[in-house]
Amino acid sequence: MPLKKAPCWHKNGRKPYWLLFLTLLLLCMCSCARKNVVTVNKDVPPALASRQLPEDQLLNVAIKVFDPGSLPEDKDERMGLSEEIRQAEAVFYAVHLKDTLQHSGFWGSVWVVPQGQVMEDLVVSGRIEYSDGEKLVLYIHAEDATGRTWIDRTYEETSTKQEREKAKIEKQDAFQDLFNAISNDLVKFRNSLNSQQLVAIHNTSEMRFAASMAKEPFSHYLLKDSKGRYHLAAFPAENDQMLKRVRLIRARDEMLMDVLTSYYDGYYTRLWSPYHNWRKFRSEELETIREIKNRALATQVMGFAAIVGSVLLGTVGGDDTYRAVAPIREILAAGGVAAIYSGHQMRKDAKMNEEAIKELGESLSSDARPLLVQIKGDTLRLTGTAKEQYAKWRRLLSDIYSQESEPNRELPEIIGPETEPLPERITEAVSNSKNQDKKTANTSR
Amino acid sequence: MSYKEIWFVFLKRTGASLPAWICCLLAALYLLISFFFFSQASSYASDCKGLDLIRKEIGILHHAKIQVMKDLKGHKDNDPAGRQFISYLEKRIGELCANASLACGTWATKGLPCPPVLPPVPNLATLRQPSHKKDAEAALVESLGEFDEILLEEQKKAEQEHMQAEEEERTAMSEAIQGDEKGSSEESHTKGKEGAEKQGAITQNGMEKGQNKKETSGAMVAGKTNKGQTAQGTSALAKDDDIVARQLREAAEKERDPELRKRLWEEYRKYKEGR
Repeated sequence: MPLKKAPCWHKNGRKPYWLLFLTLLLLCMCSCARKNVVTVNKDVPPALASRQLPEDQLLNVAIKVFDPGSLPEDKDERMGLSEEIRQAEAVFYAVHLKDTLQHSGFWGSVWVVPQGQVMEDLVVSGRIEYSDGEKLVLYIHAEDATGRTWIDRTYEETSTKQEREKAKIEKQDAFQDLFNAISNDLVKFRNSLNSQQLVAIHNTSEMRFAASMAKEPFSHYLLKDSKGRYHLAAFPAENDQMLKRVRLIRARDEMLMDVLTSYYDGYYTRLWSPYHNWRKFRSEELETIREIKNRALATQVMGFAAIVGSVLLGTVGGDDTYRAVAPIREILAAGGVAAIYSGHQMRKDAKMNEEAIKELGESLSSDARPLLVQIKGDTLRLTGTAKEQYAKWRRLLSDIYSQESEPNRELPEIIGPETEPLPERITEAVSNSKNQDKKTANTSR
Repeated sequence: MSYKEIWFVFLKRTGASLPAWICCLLAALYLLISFFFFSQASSYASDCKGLDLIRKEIGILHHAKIQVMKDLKGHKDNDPAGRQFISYLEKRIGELCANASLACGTWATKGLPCPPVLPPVPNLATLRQPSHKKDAEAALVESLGEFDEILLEEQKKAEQEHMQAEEEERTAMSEAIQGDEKGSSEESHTKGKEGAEKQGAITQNGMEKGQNKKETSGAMVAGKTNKGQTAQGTSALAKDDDIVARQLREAAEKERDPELRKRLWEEYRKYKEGR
């Protein structure tokens, strides 16, 4: 009996386990890639604190203005979107996340800050992966002062018409479920930590700030492991003068973040109406386009079916039948052509709606442009002034520290009778040498 | 009478020759100079009363040092007490040398085993005067105060802007609601005219909404300049008007008499709150 030849991928007659393994690996990779994407369900209730938490358990949160991300490459998806709208959304959504976190009651101060290095208990950063008014895909990364990652995932939600219409400034966004989901995840992680861990986060952020202001006196309190996590080796005494000075500076830093957040709040309020209207009308236009396109498709399919029917009708039966159904065939064919034409016209009408979407986008861009320029100006002015001040404070702290830390020794007394008492052995040596001197003097005499 | 004649008369009367007088003068000068130097030396000696003692003590200490150094050489192990003693002796020698040079001048230490003179050490005590620290501390406090002023001004400005934005938002909301109302009535009118042709109606609907939005944004721009003209605080209430409320609101909006207009708005609010 001749041996059956193995297929090319089945070398040496072995079973292709590698192929199975590769398939499983690919499947796993695909599932892992989707694992960090959370599709938010509808009606996500926000987690609210049932009681007022003690102050030492409240972590401060700094939300960096989100990264606007990039616009979709697909021309249809990009319709009516612009870089300016994205930049406007990057600030807008950061502020709304701040409002959502504040309403939860689990956090201390919640600030919105420009992108850059921030040393707070918890720092949240994000990137807009996709946003068209109907759908929002937001990547969120939250990390505490010790370097522990709290959240690193992408949230996506498609808003409904009701959600868009019910939107309320600061309280209820069209994507409120998505913001609630982010807030709930943060609260969940926070609640998984014990009070000591919360205090450690707070102290570490304080020490990191202190070390950034005055490296010499504070850097040795912090240890950084190979994973980039910070640990507190110790904590300075409460009456430490340098710590007191740094706390004064930190109070100003927090005040600065308050002011920045006030500016961002003003921006959010001003953008609310134009952005809310844009989302509302753009989705309506999109809905209309989808409806028109569906109708056009259905009409054209029916028209095509009528034409095919009329042709088929001509092939059925003999000449008599052909003659008998001739009017029907003609009506069917004419109806079919008319339906196809009608579908074509509908598509043309949809193009008018597309134009309307573009106009809406341009209108929002023109509304958002001056607001963006203003907020950028305000934040740059503030952060620039602060940067100068911080550099000055660093110098002054360094001066004070070097003056304080110099060993407190005085110049040796050059003239003065007070000297150390001689040790026993030394007195002996001196007396011996004196005796020797006497002996030599006697012998010379 | 010339000088020569006077001189010769003087020599004749004293009975001494000229070289004898010159010798006398030189001797007097020598005595004067030696007296001067002697008096100076006696004053030095009075200032450097303890110099001999100091010199002697330095010599003794130096001798002791050499002895100990010899002893240490004999020992293989480093004797810490011996080293301590040597450093003590060196310190004492240095101190005594300094005493001698200060009391009698640098010449007093010549020939003594004094350590080389080091450049003067900056007075750390003066460098570390509390005034320097106080200056830095004061500068820090002053700088913090300056920054506080900047921040307070900015905070004021930001809050004003925020409040203004909220005011504008309220105005815009009420204008937008009015715009919506007008838009919807126009829309229904258009629909009626167009008839039952749905496709046309959809397109018209879409376009009208687009125009409506533009009207709204226009109204918002107008609202920025005409603050307070529309009824504030009604925007939130106007969202879910029923027929009666709507009629009341429309009547209030149309009314030109301010008094009646005010009454109608009050009536509208009461109705809404009662409902």
